[in-house]
Amino acid sequence: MTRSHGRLRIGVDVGGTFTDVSLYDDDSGRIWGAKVPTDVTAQDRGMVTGIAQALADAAGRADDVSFLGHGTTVALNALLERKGARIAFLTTAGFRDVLELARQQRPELYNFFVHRPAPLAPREQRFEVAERTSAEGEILTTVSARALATLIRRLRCDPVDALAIAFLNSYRNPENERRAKAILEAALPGLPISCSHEIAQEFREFERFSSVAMNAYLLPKVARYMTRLEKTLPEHGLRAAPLIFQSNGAVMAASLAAREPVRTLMSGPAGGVLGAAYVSTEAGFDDVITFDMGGTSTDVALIEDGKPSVTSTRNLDGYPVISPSFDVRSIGAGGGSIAWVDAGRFIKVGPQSAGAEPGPACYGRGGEDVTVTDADMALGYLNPEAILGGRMPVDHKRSLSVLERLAECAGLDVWTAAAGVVQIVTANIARLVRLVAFERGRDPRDFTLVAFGGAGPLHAGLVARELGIRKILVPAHPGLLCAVGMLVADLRADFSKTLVCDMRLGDTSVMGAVVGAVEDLQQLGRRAIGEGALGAPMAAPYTRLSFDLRYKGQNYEITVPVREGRDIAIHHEPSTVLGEAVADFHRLHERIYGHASADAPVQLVTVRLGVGIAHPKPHLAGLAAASVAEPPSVGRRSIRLVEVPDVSVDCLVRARHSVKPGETIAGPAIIEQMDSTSLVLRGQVAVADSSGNLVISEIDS
Amino acid sequence: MNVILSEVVNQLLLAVAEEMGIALKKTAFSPNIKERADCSTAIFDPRGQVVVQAAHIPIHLSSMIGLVERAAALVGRGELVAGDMVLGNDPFTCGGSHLNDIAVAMPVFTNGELVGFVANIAHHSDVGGRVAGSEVGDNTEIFQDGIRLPVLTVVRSGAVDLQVMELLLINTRTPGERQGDFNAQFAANALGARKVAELYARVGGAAYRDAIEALLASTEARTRAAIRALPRGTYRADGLLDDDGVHPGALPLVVRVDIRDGDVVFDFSGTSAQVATSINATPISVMAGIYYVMRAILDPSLPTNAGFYRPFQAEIPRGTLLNAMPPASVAVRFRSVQTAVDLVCKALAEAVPDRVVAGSRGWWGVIISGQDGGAAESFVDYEAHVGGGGATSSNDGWDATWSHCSNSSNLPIEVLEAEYPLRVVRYALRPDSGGAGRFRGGLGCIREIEATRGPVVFSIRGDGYRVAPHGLLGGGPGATGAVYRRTGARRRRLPATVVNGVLAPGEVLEILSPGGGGFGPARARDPRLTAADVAAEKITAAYAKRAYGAGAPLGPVAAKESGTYTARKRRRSRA
Repeated sequence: MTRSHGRLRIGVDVGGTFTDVSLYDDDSGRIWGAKVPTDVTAQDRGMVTGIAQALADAAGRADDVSFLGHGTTVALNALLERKGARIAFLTTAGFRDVLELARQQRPELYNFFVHRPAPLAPREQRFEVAERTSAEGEILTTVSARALATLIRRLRCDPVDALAIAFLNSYRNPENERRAKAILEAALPGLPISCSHEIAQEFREFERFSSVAMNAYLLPKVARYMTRLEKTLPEHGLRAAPLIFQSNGAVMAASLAAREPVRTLMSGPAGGVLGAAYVSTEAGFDDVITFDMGGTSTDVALIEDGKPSVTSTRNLDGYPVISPSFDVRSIGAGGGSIAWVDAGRFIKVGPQSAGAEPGPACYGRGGEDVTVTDADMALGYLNPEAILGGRMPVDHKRSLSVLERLAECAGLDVWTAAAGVVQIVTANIARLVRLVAFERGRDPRDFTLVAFGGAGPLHAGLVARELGIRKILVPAHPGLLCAVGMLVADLRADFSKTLVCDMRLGDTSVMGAVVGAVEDLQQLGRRAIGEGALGAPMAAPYTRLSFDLRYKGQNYEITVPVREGRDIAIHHEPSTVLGEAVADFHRLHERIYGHASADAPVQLVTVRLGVGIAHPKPHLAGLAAASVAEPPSVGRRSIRLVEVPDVSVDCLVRARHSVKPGETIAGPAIIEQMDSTSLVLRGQVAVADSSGNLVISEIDS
Repeated sequence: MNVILSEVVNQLLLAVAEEMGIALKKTAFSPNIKERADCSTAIFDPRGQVVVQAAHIPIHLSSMIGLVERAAALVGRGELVAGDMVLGNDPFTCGGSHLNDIAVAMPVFTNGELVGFVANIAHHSDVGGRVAGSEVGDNTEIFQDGIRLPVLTVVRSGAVDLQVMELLLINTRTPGERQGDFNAQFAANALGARKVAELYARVGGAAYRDAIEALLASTEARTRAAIRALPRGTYRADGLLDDDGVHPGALPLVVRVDIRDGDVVFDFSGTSAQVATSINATPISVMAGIYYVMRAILDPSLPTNAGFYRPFQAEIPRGTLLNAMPPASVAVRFRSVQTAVDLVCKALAEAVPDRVVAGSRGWWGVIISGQDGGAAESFVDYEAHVGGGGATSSNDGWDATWSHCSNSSNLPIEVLEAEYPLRVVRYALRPDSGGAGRFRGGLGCIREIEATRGPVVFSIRGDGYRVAPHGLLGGGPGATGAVYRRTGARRRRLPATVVNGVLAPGEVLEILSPGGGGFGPARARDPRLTAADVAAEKITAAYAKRAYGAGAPLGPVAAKESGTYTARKRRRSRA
């Protein structure tokens, strides 16, 4: 499939409820958005509808589209609904229960009634074979066709949809996994087989086994979706090959997604983070914390120097999955989170949510609980007649009546109770933001808060104040950020290999081993590109090399990127490049943990290599110009401030599109737009920048 | 009182305790703290009352209280000032639980005023004593458990006292690792103290104090309300510990739980006298067990702070297993406490059958040590292999999962093999080991470990190898555990406690952990569950027939479709 050279780029994010499309015109620099309902049974259908709508708005043609980034939840939904494939799992003799024994921990410390999730391959579908590799990578027992004969017979009689192969110590030497795969592929043609070393050559068997079981479980469904996508899109004139968004914030070819669907599991929140990273870097903010507050939850991620924090292992619905992804943390605190009074008469907020149905009491759909949105409504922060740009009528009196009941239970007046709900949800969110920053050894005060999601811009001011953050960025279109992320993503695939060795820089055999591991990973990268995993490359690939290092004896590693422009040097002067990495490790350790031991021996644990292809990023300069034609609207409303809820305060209300670049609005003020409401607190001031972003700052006293 | 501010302060203090926990885990050197998270952190008020706790390990729940009380007294006498830290581990002088758990506490001051304390506790994998790993079953006196630390000022005005440090380090087999862990504990406290002082300054002294008082009062009110929802009365259970770890002979444990109007009294009269081995416990450890189990039974969402603790009292006669007098060894106090918790569940099964679990006390602790090649420092591999959890009124027990007072993770096989001269030969569920019942007990596990490069020294101890974990309301007991040594084709059973046994290269240590107890009569089990267990080979067909009277299924499919149903129907029609 060739890539056309049209002027339009498209990003499509398929979410649970809506499919968001962003369309960017390289020539004019303008951006358009479309929002259509998601077709849960066929995500490509909603996608095509949304693209058609955006193209119509922009007066563009399908064959002008040169780039099509796509975030899909096919894999995640299959997991959450437990509708993945029927799989078999093959492992080293003696270890079929590793998947079930997990880490022998119960999920909740104080709850007798909660179980770990059942393994994705039930016990009767987990098989063992005589084979063994030592921790040093020596093959102690070679896997043989004879040893696999029983399994082959069994799978012929009782076929499965996919097979996972996971052998002990295969991270060190994958030879036996490869051999078993070759034998089984020959004997069982057409059966998709995933090996654990293909997903990650990293140690800790339970996590790696769990990852490959997950991959096999998702594979058939995702592969079918990718096949259909590659057929549907050209039928609608879209000739650009779809590129699938991954959890690591990059896109890949549909063929790679079909083979390694685990790479897409966390792509949903990653889109918003990448979009936020892009918009804030464009606006001149490199160190930001994303604050994405929706209806049921809040997602938080740290972006340093324009780069979102990455984690190598995630826990999804109780299953660990090794797959590089943006380190996005969630808490059950959203606009729909329910406030309640406990037996000690304390107000608590969440984690239960009223969701979209029945939703907050003010929606008038039968919701009887107080939600955060009801508290916002009672305090006057939300439009008392209608929200979503006037599309959805609301009844603010219902908010007040449910709050009266809550206030009575807590022994408070209604305004104090409403302010309390908002303050408590603020504290809950601040706790999460602090942790996210702290785990990276950072102070939230050194960051700008980027607020998006339906409820983010409203609560950002209070959250920022709680954390001592002085600046907030509200993007021009908070609801489009995910789709913007898909639009700006690079093509990249990440590979990793565990190689536990002491960093003796003068030891040539150690240096040789590290260089060997790097070369292995480069080989994987070259093969991936050769197989079209990154589409038809427009530019020469770049590499991004990093090492997970730790002090000998520690069991936590820090990922240390090789210094800028030093990727190639690893081959001819490995001890210099690794020496730099070790020096950077001491510095990072000092920063993250507050101490370093320059004399302590350092160990290399895992080599990581990203192989990618960059493409020129759009510039959002034209965004504001697209909207200024609309008429300004100004109003006033009385609101109550959380610090003094018993008095009402007169407050300016503005429509977002009426705020001109460079205009300054002093708080208290409310700025309404279709997909969100921003609250500027007393003592804060909002300024619109040239790209249409609002920058809210504390006024210095 | 301002309930809103109180909840906000609660959340913010929890964030501080969590940050301390992250700092501790991330900076520690030993796998035991980093991988297994065998550590906890807490924040206290100026009187030494726990305000918030980020507990990873339930048995730590009360272990910092004693040290902080002593620290408060030192502050009162002007002997502990800003920037100082104390540490301690001694069960008989400063509220320790066993010597491996070393707590470090620090007073927090702002402008010369005492605001409270921060503290953390971590399990150190070797604190000296007779045997590597320190925690062995056959110590007769605490002096053999390792170094006893009374309240000891280890940091003065922010600087570590090097003489104290040297004393600590020469008393352990793994000084490098210990030093790393101590530094992590100091760093976590320094961070916590700074954050608490910041919060105090921001909220304001009076408001902060009011908020904490309201928080504790509210938690106390919630706890008492939850207790009042239980049927009042006196409930009694007794049980047996396998033995004292060395000498044959089961030891009785007795508990009477008196649920009154808003409080609960636990009386352990009738429990065995203290023993001349290391399974004795002190009251602080027993209280940790009680706090844990009552939170699980009453409401898992209750906060663990001093307000929660207030309604619980225990009467534990002096000189008994659960209130041992010096110089008793308490190295393996976990055994007695875990059994006491199991018995509280057993006693309360009569009152609240839907809220308790059947016997869940099985586990094996294994310590393997030695010198690998020419390495200077000896290695200590410290593992716990857990048994099955007990069943409940609505579910089978957890298969090979920690219950009650611990929740530490296993050590990944690939980590173990990369770091130690050992190879794991097998790690599997142990079929037929769960107690039969309407809901069956969880299965135990099998772990086989081989010495590869040279002889290694091993010590084992555990529980549930003679006295099986009990069933509840007609459920059967779990299978008892066992340990074997394999040399070639020879397989010899080992006693339940081995200290400093030697495993030669090529020899295999085979560990079978106990199963959990069943719940309800076996005849009431849904035959589909039995058939599924047979199909998954979690129970054998022969066992299914023996325990459930199920017809021997022909195979996985046949079992599901016909076998068991038919057998059951036939029996019913005969009856």
